[in-house]
Amino acid sequence: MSALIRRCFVPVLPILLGLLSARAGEAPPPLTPAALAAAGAAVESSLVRVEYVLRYDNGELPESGGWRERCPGCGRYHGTRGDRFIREERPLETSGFLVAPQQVLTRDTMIHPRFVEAIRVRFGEAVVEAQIERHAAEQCAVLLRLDAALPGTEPLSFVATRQAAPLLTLEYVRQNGFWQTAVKPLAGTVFSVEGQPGFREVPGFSLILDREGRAVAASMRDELPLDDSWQGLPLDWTWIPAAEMQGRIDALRTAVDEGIVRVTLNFRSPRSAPGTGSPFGRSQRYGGDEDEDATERNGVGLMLEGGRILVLEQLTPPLTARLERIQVHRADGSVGAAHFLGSLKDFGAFVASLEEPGVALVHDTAPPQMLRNKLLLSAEVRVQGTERTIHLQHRRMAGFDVGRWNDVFPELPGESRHHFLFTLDGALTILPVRQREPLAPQERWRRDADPIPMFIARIAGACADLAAHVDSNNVPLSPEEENRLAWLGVELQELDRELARANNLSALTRDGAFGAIVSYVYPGSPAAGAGIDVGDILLRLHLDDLPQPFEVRIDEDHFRSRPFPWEQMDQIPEQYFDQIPSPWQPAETQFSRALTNFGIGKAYQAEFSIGGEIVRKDFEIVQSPPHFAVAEQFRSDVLGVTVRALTYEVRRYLQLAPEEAGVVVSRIEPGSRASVAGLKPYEIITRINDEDVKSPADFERLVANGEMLRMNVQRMRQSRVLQIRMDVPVQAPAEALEIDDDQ
Amino acid sequence: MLCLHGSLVLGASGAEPALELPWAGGLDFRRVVRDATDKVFPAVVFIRVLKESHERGRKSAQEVSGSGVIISAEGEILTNWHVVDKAIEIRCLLYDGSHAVADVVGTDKDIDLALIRLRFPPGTARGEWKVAQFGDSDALREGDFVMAMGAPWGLSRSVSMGIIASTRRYLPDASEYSLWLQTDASISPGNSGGALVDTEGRIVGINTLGVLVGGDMGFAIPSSTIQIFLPSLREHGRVDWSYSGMQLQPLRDFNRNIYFPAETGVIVAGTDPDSPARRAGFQSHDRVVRVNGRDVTARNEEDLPAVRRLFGKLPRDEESTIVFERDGQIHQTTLTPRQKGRVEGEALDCPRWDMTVKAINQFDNPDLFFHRPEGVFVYGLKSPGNARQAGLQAKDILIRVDNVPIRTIEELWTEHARLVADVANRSRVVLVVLRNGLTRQILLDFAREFDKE
Repeated sequence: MSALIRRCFVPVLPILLGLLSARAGEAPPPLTPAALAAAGAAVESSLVRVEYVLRYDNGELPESGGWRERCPGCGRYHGTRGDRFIREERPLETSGFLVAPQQVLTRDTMIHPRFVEAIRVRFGEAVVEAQIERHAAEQCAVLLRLDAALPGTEPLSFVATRQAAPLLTLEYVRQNGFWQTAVKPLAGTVFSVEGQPGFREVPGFSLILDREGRAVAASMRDELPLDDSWQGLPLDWTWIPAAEMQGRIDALRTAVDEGIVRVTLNFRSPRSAPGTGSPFGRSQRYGGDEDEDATERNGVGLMLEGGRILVLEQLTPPLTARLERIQVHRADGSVGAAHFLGSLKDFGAFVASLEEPGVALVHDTAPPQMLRNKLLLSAEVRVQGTERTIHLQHRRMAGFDVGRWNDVFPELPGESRHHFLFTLDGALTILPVRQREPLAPQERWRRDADPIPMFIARIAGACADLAAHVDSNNVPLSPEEENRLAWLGVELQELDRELARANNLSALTRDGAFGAIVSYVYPGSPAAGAGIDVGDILLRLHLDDLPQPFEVRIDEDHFRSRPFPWEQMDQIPEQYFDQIPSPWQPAETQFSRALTNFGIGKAYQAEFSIGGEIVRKDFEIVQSPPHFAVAEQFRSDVLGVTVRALTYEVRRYLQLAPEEAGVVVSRIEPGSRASVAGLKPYEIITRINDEDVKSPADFERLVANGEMLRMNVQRMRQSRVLQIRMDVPVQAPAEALEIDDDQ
Repeated sequence: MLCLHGSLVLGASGAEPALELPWAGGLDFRRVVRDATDKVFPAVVFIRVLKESHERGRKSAQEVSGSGVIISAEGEILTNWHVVDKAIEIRCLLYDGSHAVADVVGTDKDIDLALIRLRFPPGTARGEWKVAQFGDSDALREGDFVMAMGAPWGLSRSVSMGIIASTRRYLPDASEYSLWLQTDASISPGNSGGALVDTEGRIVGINTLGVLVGGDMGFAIPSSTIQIFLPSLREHGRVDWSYSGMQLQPLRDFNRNIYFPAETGVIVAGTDPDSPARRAGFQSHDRVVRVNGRDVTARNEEDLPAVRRLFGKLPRDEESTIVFERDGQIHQTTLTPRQKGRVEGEALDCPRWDMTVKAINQFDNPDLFFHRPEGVFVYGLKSPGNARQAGLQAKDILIRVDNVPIRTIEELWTEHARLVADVANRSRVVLVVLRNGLTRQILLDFAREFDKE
């Protein structure tokens, strides 16, 4: 605290001393309110209003990126929602200073020209149309050229010599519904910035006057250099003529067209677990672009040097696991293939190698702070379905922000989710990319955060040293591996508030906000090896690369906690078989999913409450044995049945020892031989023709030979024998029609 | 209501002049019905039973009504097991308008049959009761006229008329030991225990089940089945089944398109774990052909109840000789059935916890028995109540209460009593239950008195 105060105060001292000395020398008359008002009145005839008449463009809403000052509430710069002005049938208004008979200095709203129907400049009742003539290179300003002079106005005449304090600032703003001028002494706070020139604070869009009301300078940004170099005619600033600007934009268009392309990602169809036909099965994530069960996604790819492409799509491990094909749509309409190289572990993007290298964009190498207040070019690139749209315009950076790992991020006012920024020479400097949230895997209903603007140097650095920056767990996998899950080897029950209190864990779990009670420990599992027992309570996981511990939460599916309707199985019509959720809980839970996403092979500590003691146990994230949803399976079309191997959780439910033979029925085709014979989902087939069925492969072999299949079937404690004829169509044989009734 | 009763009785039994036959040599159907009714109706009783129930989460008395028919001058009444099960008091309204209290003589849940006996009127050695005679249900054919007599919906004493729709109806979920007579005579709740009467005015069945939706389907226990078990009920108060744990299926199953290539015998579907049949070494697909020298055959599922009765009546704790075929070879082995015993667990009310529990019974709760052969499960939950609010569900098996293992009703009773007595000092207890094969902790807070008015 004290250091902060010193920093603010020390630079202020020389200014105060300067003021004091000036006062001691000449002793000018004090700045009375009347004197301030008189100074403002002196330039009244040079103050105009600039009106932007806005419109929709192809259903898109205009958005203004212009800013004046930091928001007092949050300290950031905000854009303005332009659609409001369309809806309210009024123009977006700002002020302007008449610097020449037909030239107006005004704030740069950064509204894309496609949204601007007209720019009008008003003085009293007089209105003329205007066009942007020049863009200021280092101020947030444009110069308008009026179609005609405005009657009654008088251009500002700037004093030729540099003026000393006291000086005044004048703002012309609409406040409380009325246009007004605000005149006050120029006495802003002075900032000394580490490694950069210091500056003094000034209202973001102001005219600077001497005490007589003569224009000394104008400022279109909220800071002034500490010396008086800022004084002088605004027309002497560095300006880029509108035509030149258009030329630079046109040049950029070609580069962007080739360097920022549409990429189509194709994913293998996800496997559907049995019994998930009902809405009570596996929960769906948000549909659309964030659907984890998607089979196709289109996104934006950034061509890199060395025949690589950075695909700016945030894929989760389950989705990347199914990634099958990457197609790059080039500017010339051709489609090229690319091959996955690695997912960036910190950013929502992955790198792929191109079969045919593309034209990469030049990257800006200047230090980011050099971009401060500079005029930049912006390419808004969106891919929606198979359409890529590109909108180019000029843009400016508002400031800097600090984020994760103390990284400095650019701050762009207004919309920035799809915006790539370039220097005027066309070098890429800022791109939109998502940051990966390390704790995201635990949130079942998470929605991906928006992309944020980031300096290219940060991303390019990660792409150049891929080995150190990829997540080796977030990779395409084989169909056999794609549904792999990590496990600890326990079944868990959620800890609620009451149970946390009963187990004296309220203080450690924020009154039961997280935690899970071990309700079963699988023999031979990591948990069993660590001596975990039923009733122990799992609280948190500690991983080196997590900024905070992962709090274990179990999102229980209460529908599934009801007893399975075994006794009603014979009454359920066969068309509903697919909708019966399995009697055992699915192996994929929020917990196992999170563990898998953290990465198989990683070390972690699990924090348990065991008998009232808090204990940390060391584990490694290991892959579980096959579970029901991905168990080895065989589908017999001639029988109309799919069977799966007895996996660990099925054996637990059915209390079957590891050596006991059997396969579990996971699907019955309505009307099939199996269905007619009365086979039901989740029954166990133990023997066929008096041979043990130990695996789906056994099942396949045993049903392949023989005209008659005799199956031993078990449903919990009930057994029965099915006799299925394979050599006749699925109809009752003729002899069955001789109904035997000898009674 | 009473008025309605009266008029019904009068209308059915009033002595009106007989109507002449409309054509000579034919059958006067009204005469037939009236004769039959006159024979049996005086023996039909309307029964109101006050019974104990644990279903709604607390022990409560509940009144139900049913029917019965007097079959002996000693005042024996046949009715259904489900009418008088757990009865505290049985009141009977007789044909002559008098009423009497009855006591249970014997019951059997598996065939849903009960024998009760009227108490003699004070000061008499025996009552003056009209008695109905048994007919032969085996002689019935589909299409034969029958009458259902009873008290549907608690409206005492009525007759409905129909035909035998099926003489051998197999209802797999209704009884493993008996076939049913199916009739289209209207059978409604309250008819239970009443008589199904043939045109000769003899009892051919006891009406037991009706189909509420769709109507026109009633089911009665055939008199031939009743005759088999009546002596046992009368003498021992129960049927006293033997248990061998043999699961059977017929040689032919049209519905499932399953046909075993044999003309005699019955197929062993499987054996219960730890059962005499499992110990005897029976395997699925064995074909049993002879039991203690008697040939057995279940061609169709309708034949199964008789075969099961045979197994169910084997002498217990004695070796029976079973001849069976396996892989084309004839084998012989011995089977030693044991007593089947209770077919329903004992229930217990847990006041203040607002729930009732029941002991797990192999026959009543096979799914729970699968998870835990011995134990106590949540039977009923009061609503609102502490147990329900704590998240307990019906069929949760109680494993531990306050860290004390629970295996029997007695153990739970002890723990419950101890904890509830100390409610002023401690009103929260952790229960460990087994739900769907997984243990769960549940915190039961029983501080609140839901009974407080």
